[in-house]
Amino acid sequence: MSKIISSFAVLLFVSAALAGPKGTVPRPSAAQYPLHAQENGVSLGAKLLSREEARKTFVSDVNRCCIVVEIALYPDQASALNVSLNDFALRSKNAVSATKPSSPKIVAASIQQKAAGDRDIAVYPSAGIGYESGTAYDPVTGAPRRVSGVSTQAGVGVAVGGSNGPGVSDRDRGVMETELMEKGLSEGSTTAAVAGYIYFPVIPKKKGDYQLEYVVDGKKLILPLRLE
Amino acid sequence: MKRVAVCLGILFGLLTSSYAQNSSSDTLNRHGQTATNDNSNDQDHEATVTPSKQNDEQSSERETRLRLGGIVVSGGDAHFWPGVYPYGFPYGPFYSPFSTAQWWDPFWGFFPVVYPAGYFSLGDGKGEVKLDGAPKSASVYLNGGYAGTVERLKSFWLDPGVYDLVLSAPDGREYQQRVYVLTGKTLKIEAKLVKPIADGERM
Repeated sequence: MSKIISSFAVLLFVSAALAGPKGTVPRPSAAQYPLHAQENGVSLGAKLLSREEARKTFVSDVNRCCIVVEIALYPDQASALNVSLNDFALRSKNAVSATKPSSPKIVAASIQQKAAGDRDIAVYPSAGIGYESGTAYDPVTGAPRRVSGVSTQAGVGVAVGGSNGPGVSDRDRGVMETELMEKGLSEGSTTAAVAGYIYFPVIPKKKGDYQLEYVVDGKKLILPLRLE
Repeated sequence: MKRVAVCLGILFGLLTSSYAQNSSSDTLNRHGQTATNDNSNDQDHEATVTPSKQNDEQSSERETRLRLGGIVVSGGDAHFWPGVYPYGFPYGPFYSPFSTAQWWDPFWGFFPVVYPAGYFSLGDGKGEVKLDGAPKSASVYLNGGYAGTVERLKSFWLDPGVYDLVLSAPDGREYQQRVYVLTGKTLKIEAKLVKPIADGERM
């Protein structure tokens, strides 16, 4: 019995150790985010990441598939808040339908799929220079004479093939999944402030107007987001 | 001499165009803040050629990356003695000095056509980590294990994976970062070492 308990404890410890960090560090208050709102004692702070910001924040190429929004939730200290990705939605301006966030697993798979469709063209230029010398015989008189000369050559090879770049292999997908999960907003019940990124499967435009919707206790909070 | 100049000109032109694409492409200049991706310094000068009419929708489409796979520059010296080069003018003695057994000939054989793209890339299947801003004497720990000093590990290659990187200077300053290594990507880490907060100093 004690063996079972001890192995369970080891398993628990290992899983806790492997869990890694989760989310980002919330700012002192929701007001310190570019966009913020409050409803039913819950404060919401949000920041839409531009393509450049997303590229700096993530090693995974999230711009290929997703719009990333940093979310911070500050629950009322009296009651716990149940954080669920399902409570968020992103809507393009004037669009009828909205998009729910994707899980890190889906995002990683999407990036991998797009990376695998890339094409690599590799160029291999080459150049050579040579010097030869020797004795040549005149074909008419048969007299030997010293000859020498410099020769040069240049060439270029082009190889075209499927991409083997970042994000293509299964190991890369695992890494991306871990990164997106560890930086993502954690779900579950909380009484403390939480923050993290959520990923909407919408290809980010250079400019665009969106609105972030968050449902808390049946009430909808709407924050306008602008991609610039 | 004229031919030499022409060859070097072609080579220079190829190199210039490759680097120009490297620096101009939008998707290339990925300068990280702290442990971020920096593709502009990829090991094989990888360049991403974006379509000329790139719009937002197209960014999700298939990308074509042009890159410099490698450069071959060779030289040779041959002397045939005694006798005549069998092929006569204009081929001998100016006929490919590289094929006269003394030197490997980059223009013969199958190089480079049959090699797949990326064959010659450094650290094949690995990602690069570049450390910047840390003192040379600082120790580098990866997942808790000692890996060496910054002086020796200014740039190193790792298998794709997630690593806990710790840099520890002899004066007690430390830097910690969780790094995500992807195949063929370069992580440029701007390490700013700070004194760790002791338990007694915590608020």
